[in-house]
Amino acid sequence: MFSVMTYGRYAARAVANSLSPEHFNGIPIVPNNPRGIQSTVSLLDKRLYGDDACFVAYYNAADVLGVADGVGGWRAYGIDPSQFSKKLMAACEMMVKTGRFVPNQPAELLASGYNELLQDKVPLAGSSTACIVVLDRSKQTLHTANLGDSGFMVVRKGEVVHRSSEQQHFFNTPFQLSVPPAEHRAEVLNDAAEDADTASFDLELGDIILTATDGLFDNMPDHAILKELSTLKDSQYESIKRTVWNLAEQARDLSYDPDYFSPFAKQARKNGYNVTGGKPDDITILLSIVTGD
Amino acid sequence: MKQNGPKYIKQYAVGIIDYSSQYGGENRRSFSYSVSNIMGEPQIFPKYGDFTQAAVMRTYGPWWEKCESPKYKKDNRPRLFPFASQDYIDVVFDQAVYPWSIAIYETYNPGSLVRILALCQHFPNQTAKSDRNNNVATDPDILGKAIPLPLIDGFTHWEVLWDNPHPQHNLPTAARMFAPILREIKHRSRIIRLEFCHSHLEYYAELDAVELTGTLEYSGSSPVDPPSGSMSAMKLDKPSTSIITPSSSSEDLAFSESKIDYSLSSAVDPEDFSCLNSDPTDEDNPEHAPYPGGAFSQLPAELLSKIFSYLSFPDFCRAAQVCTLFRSHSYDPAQFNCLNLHTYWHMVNENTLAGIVDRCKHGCTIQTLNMRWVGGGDIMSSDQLHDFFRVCDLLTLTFLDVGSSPCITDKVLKAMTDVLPHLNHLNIESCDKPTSEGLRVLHKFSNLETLNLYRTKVDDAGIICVLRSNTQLESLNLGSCQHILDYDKVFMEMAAHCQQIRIIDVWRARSLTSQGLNELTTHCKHLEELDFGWCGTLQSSTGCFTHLAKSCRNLHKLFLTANRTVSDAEIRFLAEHCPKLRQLDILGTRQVSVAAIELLLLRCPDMQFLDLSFCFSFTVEVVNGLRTLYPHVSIKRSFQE
Repeated sequence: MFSVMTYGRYAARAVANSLSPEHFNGIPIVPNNPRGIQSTVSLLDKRLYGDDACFVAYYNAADVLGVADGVGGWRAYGIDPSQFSKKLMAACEMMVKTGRFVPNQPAELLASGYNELLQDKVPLAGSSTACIVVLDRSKQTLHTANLGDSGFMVVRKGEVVHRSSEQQHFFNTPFQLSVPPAEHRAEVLNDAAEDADTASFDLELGDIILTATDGLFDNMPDHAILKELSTLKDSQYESIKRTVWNLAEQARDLSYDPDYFSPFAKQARKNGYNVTGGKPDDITILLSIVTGD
Repeated sequence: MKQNGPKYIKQYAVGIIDYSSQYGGENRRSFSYSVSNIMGEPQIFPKYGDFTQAAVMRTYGPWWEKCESPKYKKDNRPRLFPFASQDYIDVVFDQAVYPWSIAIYETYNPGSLVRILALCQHFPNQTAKSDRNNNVATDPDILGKAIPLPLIDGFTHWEVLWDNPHPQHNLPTAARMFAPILREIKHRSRIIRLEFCHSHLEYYAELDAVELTGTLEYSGSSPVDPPSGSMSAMKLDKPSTSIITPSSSSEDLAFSESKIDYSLSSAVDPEDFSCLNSDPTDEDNPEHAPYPGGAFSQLPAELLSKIFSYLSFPDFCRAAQVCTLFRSHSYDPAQFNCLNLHTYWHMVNENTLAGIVDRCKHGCTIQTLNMRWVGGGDIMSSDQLHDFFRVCDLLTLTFLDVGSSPCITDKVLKAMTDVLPHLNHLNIESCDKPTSEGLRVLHKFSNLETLNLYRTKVDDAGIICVLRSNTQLESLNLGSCQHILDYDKVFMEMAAHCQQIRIIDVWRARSLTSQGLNELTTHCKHLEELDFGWCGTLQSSTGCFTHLAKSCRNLHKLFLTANRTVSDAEIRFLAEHCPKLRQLDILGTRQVSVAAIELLLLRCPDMQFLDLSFCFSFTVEVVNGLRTLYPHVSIKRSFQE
């Protein structure tokens, strides 16, 4: 049994701390809209970002990580998108802490967390993607469930050995768990936790598991991520933290580069949208390493 | 070498054995507002607010009691404790210790804890020092009840560690860790009962964790003193032998509760109840006393009888030991019209039951029997209660409350249906031992007016049979009855057979739709109090609520907690058609406007209670404005922050 695992975690808020609104004029933003309709949203709204949420929780021999990306288009309905992702992750975290889950069924965990949202007194509305990763230390296996365009990556000896795939209905409209407000029940996309992609893998010593929202993957291609991960020299907390910071900073810098041909821009071109530049977005990265005793 | 102080072990709860009620659903996979949240370390503290990770009980305040019509006779004896515990949670810890302190983390509306008891198992021929380790299964089921309590060659009893006769009012609205000083007991324990009274609170009491600190070795009077300054008024070194100091006022024979000096009171010795059926220890001897029975025999019998009716129950029992005259009054059937053993549940055992049987032998007219919570911790077996019902003459009984009693089983229920033909009011809430099949026997009752089946395993067939045979049913509680699969069918049966129904509580009915509700409101014209909290399948778009408003002019309580579909239309219909409305709960809807509520408040002058928590339009400023305009209405606005 792997007895020790070190985690680094970092969530970068794309806007609030570093840049001011003037920098955005003219950059087209395509928000994730529940109906997949494009629109240009006011760039001066400081709360445009900040919809990601994550959690790390432990129970017996299971370590569970989760990320969720709130769908921003709900702002148009007067709903704060960060509430849904935050509460979904908090519910999943509580499920793990109280042992209300089975390690090899992460999709079930996601479903329970989602069902729990309706039990909150506060009337919740919104939607988000979700990615749950369970590390079963006693069996040295990784169990994953991914719904939407967040995801994970397992890196072994400098190569990607496992990767999640994006689930999208159409461009920029990922699969999402949603709770529509009472007035809008009929019209809203709602995928079930059972639709999540699930997969289980065996783990080896030295494996790096990266779990992140699309803020990272949309702005940094795999080879750039691998390059940064190769600089990780040991499994000390400080090293991991530094690597995560570097990744997040790079992704953020690239997202605001108007000439950079980001993975997001590549994907947009394939779908007929002529855009360049990165995609400013919330960036959440959870990095973990399998260590021995 | 200097002698060290005793080693203290701190533990958080690892399991829940039992509880009387909870706000959350009974589905074990759900944790929101569930009592299981009291386990483990604090998750919320020191934050203050209405969070899903807290342990919350089903009710609070006077709102549920206010509505219950007291058609049954109440036991007017003064109680040993002026509060009545309303809820309890039995928590279990990993290791049995001699309790030194218990701290509860209150994260919303503190001040509900009123009593703490410890379940002690001790074995004869064992001294405190050589107390064996309890060999109980140490793998608790975190999601619910667990931990069998083996009663092998030992005695189990409850020790009161602490009680507070005066529930604390007006505490600051902040999270607090409350750790009262406990009585020292000579037994180890790992099972603690926390008792709560919340009728004085503004909103739900919510708890985060409970922490038990104790020692593994018995330390007697510990050299380590408890922290000074806290609860010095409650310093209890030893239980005092004189339990209650009667009123010293000479001009008033009436025994008024407020004059009793409770600061000297402590746990009543369980031995006291065993004297319920004992003979006077002092044999009457004419040579020694000028008057047989003392000066009391000079009083007319009715006057002495009246005096006896003012004695609290433990005193009433002890009086039988004084002399023959007192014994005859203590055994007078007329004194046994109403019996309320709820507060003394931890002292009720087979001797108590035998004492009641003795008194009910000749011409007993007992009408009201309240035995809520008796047998908790398995201090009494269900067979003993079964024999009690079979043997005791309870023909005149019309009111029976055995809520949350682990002694109620299928067998006991069957006995009850055989011996209580005239029962009008039955409360078996939270009795979770009876099975769905066992509960079908309830249809043998045919005179029921009130029936409380909250959190029981009653199923569709069971409740439908009861409805068919009790057509004058007026009050029914089917809250959190998870085994009922089709609430619409139940409502249709109610509409067909129980048209006198006035009070209905179907908290968390998952299958109730407008189909059932419309049927009910069409045929039952006397509806007054309806609790449809968390009934998510009732949709306002079907018009069922507006139909309800139009059909029930006598409606004075409507709870639509967390319905989410309540809109202005419903509020306007209520304002127009239900002028007698006193209590309304529309927690958690985004669709009601301030104007609609203002209209409602204008049209319903009897309004006392309005819960607007988590409603979109009702900000703090708006609610404060309403409170100023309508000071007689208690307007609730909870928050999560």
